[in-house]
Amino acid sequence: MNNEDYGYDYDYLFKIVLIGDSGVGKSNLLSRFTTNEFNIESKSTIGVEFATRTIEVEGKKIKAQIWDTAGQERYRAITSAYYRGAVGALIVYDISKSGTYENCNHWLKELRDNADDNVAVGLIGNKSDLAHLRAVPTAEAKNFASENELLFTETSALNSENVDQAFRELITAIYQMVSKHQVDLGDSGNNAAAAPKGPTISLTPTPNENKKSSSSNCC
Amino acid sequence: MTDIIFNKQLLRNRNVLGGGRSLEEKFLLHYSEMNGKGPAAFVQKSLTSRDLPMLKYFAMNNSGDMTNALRKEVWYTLLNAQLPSTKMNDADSIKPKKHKDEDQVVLDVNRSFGALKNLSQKERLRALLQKMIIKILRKYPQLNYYQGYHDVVSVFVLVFFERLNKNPTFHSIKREECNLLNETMDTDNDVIEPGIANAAETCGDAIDEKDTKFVLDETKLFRCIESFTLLYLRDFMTDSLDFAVDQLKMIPYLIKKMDPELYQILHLDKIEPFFALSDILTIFSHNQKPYEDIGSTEHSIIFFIFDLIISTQSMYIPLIIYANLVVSKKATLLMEYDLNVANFENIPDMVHAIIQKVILTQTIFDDENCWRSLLTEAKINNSLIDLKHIRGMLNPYSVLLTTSVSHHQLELQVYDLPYILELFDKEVVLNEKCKSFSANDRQLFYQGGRSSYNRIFYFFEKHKTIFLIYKLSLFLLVFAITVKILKDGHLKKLVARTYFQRLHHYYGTIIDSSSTRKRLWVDPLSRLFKSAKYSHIPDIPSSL
Repeated sequence: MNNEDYGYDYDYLFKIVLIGDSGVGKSNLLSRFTTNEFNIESKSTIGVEFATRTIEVEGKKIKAQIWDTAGQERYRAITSAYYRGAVGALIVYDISKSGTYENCNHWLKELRDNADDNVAVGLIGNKSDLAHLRAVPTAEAKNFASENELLFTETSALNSENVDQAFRELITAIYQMVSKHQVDLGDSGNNAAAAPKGPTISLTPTPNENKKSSSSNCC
Repeated sequence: MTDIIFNKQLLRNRNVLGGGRSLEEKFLLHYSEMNGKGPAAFVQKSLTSRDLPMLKYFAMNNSGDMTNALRKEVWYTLLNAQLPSTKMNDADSIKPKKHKDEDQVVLDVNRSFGALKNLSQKERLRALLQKMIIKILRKYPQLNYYQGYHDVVSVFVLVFFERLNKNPTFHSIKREECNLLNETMDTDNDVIEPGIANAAETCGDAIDEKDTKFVLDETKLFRCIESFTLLYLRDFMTDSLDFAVDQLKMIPYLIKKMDPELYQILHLDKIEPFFALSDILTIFSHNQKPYEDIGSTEHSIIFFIFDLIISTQSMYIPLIIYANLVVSKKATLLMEYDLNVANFENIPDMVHAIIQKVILTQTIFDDENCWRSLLTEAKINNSLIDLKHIRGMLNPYSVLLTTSVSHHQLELQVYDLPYILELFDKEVVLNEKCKSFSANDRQLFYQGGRSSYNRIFYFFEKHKTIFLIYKLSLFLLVFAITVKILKDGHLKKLVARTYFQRLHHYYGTIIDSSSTRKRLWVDPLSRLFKSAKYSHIPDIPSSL
C-alpha cells in the first residue's frame, strides 16, 4: 500500500475488482499495473487487499482503486461482499490452465449476482508468456468475451505485455459510460461519500451516483 | 534483561492465574536454582520430570528466553499432551487417497517462503511444508484446506527446521519415505508438480545418509501440526468459512467492551469484520515481514503468539491481540477516518482500508515494547473472557467453546481424538444447515433457534436470576403442599373454598385509596374474555 492509495488528487474514483481462480496471477497483474513490480513467488492473497493508481483518461485524473481477492472457492462469500459499488471488474484466467478459463463462467455469474447491474467487465487471459503451454485458444476466449459483452485482452504480468492496456481499456470504458450519463443527466453530483474533495467537487459526479441513476434512465 | 521482564510479567500475572501462587513460587525457585544454566536446563528438567504445568507456565511467561531448538520440544510436549497419540491417529492410518484440495495446497506451497535467499533451503522448506499439509489432509479427509492454513503450518515447519538445518545430516530423508512420496503422487496419474518433484529429488540426493534423529523430529513435527489443527483450527476447515466469520465477530465484540466510542465511530455494529480475516485465519503469520534468511526468524513475534496460544490453550489470543491493536491505535484511526471519509466507495471499504493501513502488523511487530505489552494484555484479557456472554455468538462446537477455551487452571486440558472428530462432524452438519444464513442470522440460530427446548434452555441460561426465582417459588409450593398434607392428612382442601368465593366477590372491584370509595376496576384482559365468562363486566370507560 503506498501513500497514493489515500490521496485526493483525482477527478474520478473508480472501484474495480479483480477476480478469478487461485494462481492465475491476479496479484501480480495488480502490482505490475500499480507499482510496475512482479514477483513470481508472491504470497497467496488471503481475503481481500487493495491498491490504487491514478491515470489520465481524456484529460481527467482517474483514480483506479483495485481490490484484489483470494481465488479459492471458499472465500467467495467474503470476496463477493467487496463487489458492492464496483464500477469495473476484471475476470482473470491463466492461458496455460483450461480449468481456470472454464471457471470464468462461474465468476461472471458471481459478479452478475453480487455486483451492480452495469458494472463494466473485462476478461483477461494472463501468462501469455507461457505460449508453449497454451491450453486456451485466443479465438475461443475472444468469442466468449464478445458473447457476454466483455472486454478482452491477453496479458503477461511477467513481461508486462498488455497489462497497462488492459486496465486502461477498462477504465476508459467506465469513464465513457460515466461521462455519457453525466451529459444525459446534467447531474452536478455532490455525494460526499465518494466525490473527491478539492476544486472539482461541485463539477464531478461520483461514479457511484451516475451508476445508480443510470440504471433507471438508460438502456 | 529478560529476567527482569519476566519477573514483571510474573507480578502482573499473579492474580490472573488464580491459585497459581504456589506454582509461581515453585517456578521461581526452580528457575533460580537453574540460574546460570539458562532456560534450556530448566526446560530439560521439566521435560524429564514431565512437569507439564511448569512447562506451560514457562511457555506462557518466558517465551522470550526460548530458542527454536527449545521451543519445538516445548510445543511438542504440550501439544502431544493435549491430544495424546492413540492407535487411531498413528501415522500408518494415513490414507493414500488424494485429497480434493491438494492442487490448491501445491499452488500455495510454491508461493511460500518466497523471500528466502537460500534456494536449496527454500526448496527443502517447501517440500516439508507440502508433505505435512498433504499428510494431514489425507489422514483427515473430512478437513477442508483453506488458503492461509499453509501459513500456519509453515510456522511449525520453521521452528522444527531451524535445528535440523544446523544438523549436517539434515538432507537425509529415509528412502522409504521418498518412495512413498513418489508412489502416492504417481498413483494419482497427475502431473508431478515442481514442489513435489523437488522434494523427491532432495530425497534422492541424500538417501545414503541415515539420520534417525531427523525422522524422529519429523514425526514430532507432524504430531504438533495434527494436534494444533484439530484443537485450534477446526472451525476454519469445514466446507465454508462461516465459522471463521463467526470468530471474527468476536473482534468488534471485544472492541465494544474496551472502547464503545471507537466501536461506534468505525461502524463496527454494521459492518462485517472481514478486514481481520487474514490475520486471524493465519494467526498473524501471513502478514509478518517476509524473511530473507531463516536465522532472522528466530525471535519472530509469531512464535511468541503461538507460545501463548499453545500454553494457554486459547484461540481467543489472536482475537484479543487484534482488538487490542485496533484500540491502541485509536488516535491514528480517527485521523485516517477523517482524511479518507470521501476516498472510498462505501463505509465497509473505508474501514477495511484504514484498519489495514494503521494496523500494518509487520511494522508493529518490529516494535518490541509494543508487542510485549500486547502479549501481556492478551494474557490478562484472555483470563477475563467470560464464556457466558460469548455462547450464542458461536456455534456450540466451536473451538472457542470447546477445545481452545481460555482456561484459568494451570493443568493442561486433555482431549481425545474421537471426541474431537465428533465435534468436527457436528460442526460440519451445523455448517450445512446454516449455509444460507447471514452471520447475524447464524447468531440468532445459535442463540436457540435449533429447537423450542433449546430456546427455553437458552433463556434460562441467559437469565439465571429468573431461573432462581422459579426454583424458589417451586420449592415454596412443594413445601406448602407437604405442610398441608402433614397437617390435614390429605390434599382435598388444599385451597379453602371460601377463599375462591371471596375472590369472586371482590373480582372487578378495588379500593380507591384516595377516596376510600369502592370503584369499579376493569381488568384489561376482560375484553379478551368478554364473549365468555365475564360478559357482564362493562367496557373500559374512556376516562380511565
